[in-house]
Amino acid sequence: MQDLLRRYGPGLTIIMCLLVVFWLVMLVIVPNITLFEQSFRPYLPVTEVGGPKDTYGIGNYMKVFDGNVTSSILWIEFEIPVRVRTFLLTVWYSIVVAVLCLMLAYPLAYYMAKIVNPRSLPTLILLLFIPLWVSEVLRAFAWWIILAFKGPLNALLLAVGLIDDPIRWTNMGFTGVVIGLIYTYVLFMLFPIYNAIQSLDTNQIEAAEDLGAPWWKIHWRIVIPHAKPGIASGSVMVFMLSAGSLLVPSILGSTTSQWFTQTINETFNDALDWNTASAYAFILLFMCTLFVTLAMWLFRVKLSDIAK
Amino acid sequence: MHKFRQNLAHLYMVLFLIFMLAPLLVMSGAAFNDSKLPSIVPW
Repeated sequence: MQDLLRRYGPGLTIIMCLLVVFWLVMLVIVPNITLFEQSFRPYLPVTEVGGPKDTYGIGNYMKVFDGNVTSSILWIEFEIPVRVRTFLLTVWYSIVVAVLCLMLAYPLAYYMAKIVNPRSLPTLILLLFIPLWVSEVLRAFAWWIILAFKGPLNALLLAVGLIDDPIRWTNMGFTGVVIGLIYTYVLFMLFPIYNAIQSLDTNQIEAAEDLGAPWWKIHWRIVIPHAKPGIASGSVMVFMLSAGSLLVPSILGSTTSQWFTQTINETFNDALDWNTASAYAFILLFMCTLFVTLAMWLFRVKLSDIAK
Repeated sequence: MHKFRQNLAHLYMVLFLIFMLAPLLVMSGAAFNDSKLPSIVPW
């Protein structure tokens, strides 16, 4: 604050602070508090809103445990509330997306930071950024076309002889959703890791090579520990964005791949039950935050590492 | 071996760029098609 005052004077500093406070209050705090307050009130006809039945309670949150379905893991069958199942599957496949994004992005981040000619790096980054200039809807529909039964992917695989019959990619559970989410969010993993690896002194890698360390040991002992903040930051971003994505699961999902955000959307827009939908939205937010905190504790990542 | 790994990295980069840019090329193609559902053909 002292630095701001010295640099810009009291007038401009107050204006900047007020703008930040306005942004935080009006665009983050007020909408969330409104939803949070609604989530504890029952869904009532308009004539009964504010009446004796309009009391605070956790009934909306408990609706997540309504309606059991039979599910199975490997050969073990069990009963589980349908929305809990949807939520757990959303979290599980978001983890899968984050892990696959890490596996795809890490070699590329290392390549960009340490191998590629620095003169061609701007062109490379520009090429990687191009997909972000296009709307997410268009990109999801592009994958809808690619993964179609008579689409280019099946045509290519048939032509090279890898498959004998076309595959229904978007009808295979969460396959289409996972592919779409990886494509949409892989760059959110790539650039934090690239930034982290870029700050690693190349002499360390060369010294390890000179001392006879194999390539995997160099990555395990030198590069990955140094890239840990970038990996943590990217993983949190990809996980949270995937769990909160609505568009990709809506377009690329199958009849058996309900995403939790779709449940929230249906409760908001089809059932018009804003109260229960708010409760579901807060369950998603709270549980995902809890999960990320737990993962950070497990992998010994500090919040300051992610904020770097 | 070092050269081989470097070439492998270049190949991976090219494949990654194809992965990132192919959907955009598909949409460019689909922009000129004549079908009711999104598709590349018929033009």
